[in-house]
Amino acid sequence: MESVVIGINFGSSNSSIAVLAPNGHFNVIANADGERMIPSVVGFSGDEEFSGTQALQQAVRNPKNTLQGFRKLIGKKFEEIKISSDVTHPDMVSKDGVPAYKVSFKDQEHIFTVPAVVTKQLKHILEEAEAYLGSKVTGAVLAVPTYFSEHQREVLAKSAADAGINVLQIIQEPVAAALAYNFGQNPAKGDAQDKTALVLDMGASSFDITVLSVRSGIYTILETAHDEALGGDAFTDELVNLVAQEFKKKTKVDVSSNKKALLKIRTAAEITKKQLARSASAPCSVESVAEGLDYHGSINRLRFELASTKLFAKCNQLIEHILEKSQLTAGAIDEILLVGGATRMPKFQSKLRDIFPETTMRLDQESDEAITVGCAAQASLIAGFEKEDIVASTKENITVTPHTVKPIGVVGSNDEFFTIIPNHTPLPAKRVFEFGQAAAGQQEVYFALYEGEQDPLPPKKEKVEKVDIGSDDEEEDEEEELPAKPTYHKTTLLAEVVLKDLPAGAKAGSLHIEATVHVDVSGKTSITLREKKSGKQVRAESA
Amino acid sequence: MVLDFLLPSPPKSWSADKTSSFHAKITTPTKAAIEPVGRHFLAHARRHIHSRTFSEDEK
Ligand SMILES: Nc1ncnc2c1ncn2[C@@H]1O[C@H](COP(=O)(O)OP(=O)(O)OP(=O)(O)O)[C@@H](O)[C@H]1O
Ligand SMILES: [Mg+2]
Repeated sequence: MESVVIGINFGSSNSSIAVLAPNGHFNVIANADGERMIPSVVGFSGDEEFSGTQALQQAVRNPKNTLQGFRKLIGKKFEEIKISSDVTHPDMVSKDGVPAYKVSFKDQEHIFTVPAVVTKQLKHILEEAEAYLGSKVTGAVLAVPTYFSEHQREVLAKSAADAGINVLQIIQEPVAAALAYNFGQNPAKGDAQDKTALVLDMGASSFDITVLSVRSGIYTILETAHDEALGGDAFTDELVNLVAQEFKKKTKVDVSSNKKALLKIRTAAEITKKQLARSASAPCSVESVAEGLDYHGSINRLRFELASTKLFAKCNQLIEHILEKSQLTAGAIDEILLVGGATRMPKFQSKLRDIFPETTMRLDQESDEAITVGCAAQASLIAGFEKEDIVASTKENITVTPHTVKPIGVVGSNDEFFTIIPNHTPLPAKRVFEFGQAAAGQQEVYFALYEGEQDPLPPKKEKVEKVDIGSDDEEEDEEEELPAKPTYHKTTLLAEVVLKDLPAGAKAGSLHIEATVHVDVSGKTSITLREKKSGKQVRAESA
Repeated sequence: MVLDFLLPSPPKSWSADKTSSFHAKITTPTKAAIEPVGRHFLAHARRHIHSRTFSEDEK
């Protein structure tokens, strides 16, 4: 049988599926309701059980029997979790210490543990995929947040297996996104192969940031930070408050503590918020908010942004925090990879521009599809391998490798340091580069290899946080300097090599010397210099 | 990668019979985890696991 493998993003609010299409692209496939984003929701009503789009559709009517946000609870103990049991949330109980939902279904009370609910959701995803593809799915790659523990991964793997999914591999979300963006995977000729990205993933419930380096196509996570209260939901809440205030102004009815009314407003506000990403104002309509009264109004984007000022400021703080933690200037970030639906907010992106005026902001991928697409890419890469080999390749003896601590490079005539092998490079590493020889007739060239160190960062100026009225901040940064690209200076001379007997009578710069620097796992270094035309070469190796 | 500067002649102090001299080791590398994804990683893994399927990877 032909193997059909898929990528699954099981997010806490949305799930999605991607496959490799015949044209070589990865397609995110739509479910039977035509949605590419399948809500991570399971619901029970009467004799029926729903998942995905249909489960979400009945959520407002039937909140006590509608389960959402269960991905967060995977692998958690009942005592560890916060439960918000009220008229708009299902009841939760402990089943042998595992959190479980108490729902009424087929006129009876049923208890479903979190892993059992996860299995229901994943089974639904698998069925949607197979219905779309018209064939059996033979394997899938899933992604989890960087802060998932080994135990959480195991519980997810077990739930997926129970759903009938052959899990090929579970990978990290930001890494999946990097694959989708093809970050550093096949650099065009002349492009740097060593880069650093900031992966910014704002989904519904959290904001996860990852500093990711790529060295010859291999990823290393350098730093992570996340805020579990800062996601699209928090922004929707601001909009809900605005609508509740408007409703009160119009009707004199205060719904600020009416949970059912707020839930209704929330459903409408969620749609309005997404429209505000594209237009300067958007309608918001809620039928029968409270006391039989409807709400019909429209919200202005600036107003929403103003109401969200604190949230946007928190986003900036988390970004500044991770840069500081990883001792990177904004200028050291080569690319920003946007992940998660909430990064579509225009204000989010314009604030990023302020911090990273020079950085390439990648927008060539639907942000909320990046993780799925990356999972599908990985799935199709490993589809042909034996399962044991895939498992073996993720073991520590293969993934934990020595990395360089300091950059290795050469020094130009005015003492400028050129990095050849940057810090954070997994070993063994090999880099090949080219020089011309200097003076006319020069028959010997001298090559010196150094270790370097980053120059100290300019002292940080204390910024006074201005209240931002959403007026695209032009006045602000008059005298502010651009974030510095990091510079380096040489610290230690590692090696010197001389290539002799070059062809006589060559013009200045006409001979091309290729240098190959290789550092093995123990740090042992070898250098090869070769004149390309004559093939004349010298190789030297450290003890 | 082409570096836009030129290699000089050896310094005057360089003795004519030498072709190389190593002075220091690089700073002791630290252990860190690389992410098991992508074809470059698979090539890395293949070098470690001498199994049939992995050695068949990439032409
Ligand atoms: N155009 C848009 N404008 C603003 N917000 C949007 C837009 N599109 C999606 N969102 C928001 O993105 C969030 C969903 O993003 P995503 O599907 O990436 O979340 P998730 O991965 O399921 O959640 P999490 O990452 O928290 O587990 C929702 O809060 C949604 O409102
Ligand atoms: Mg997400």
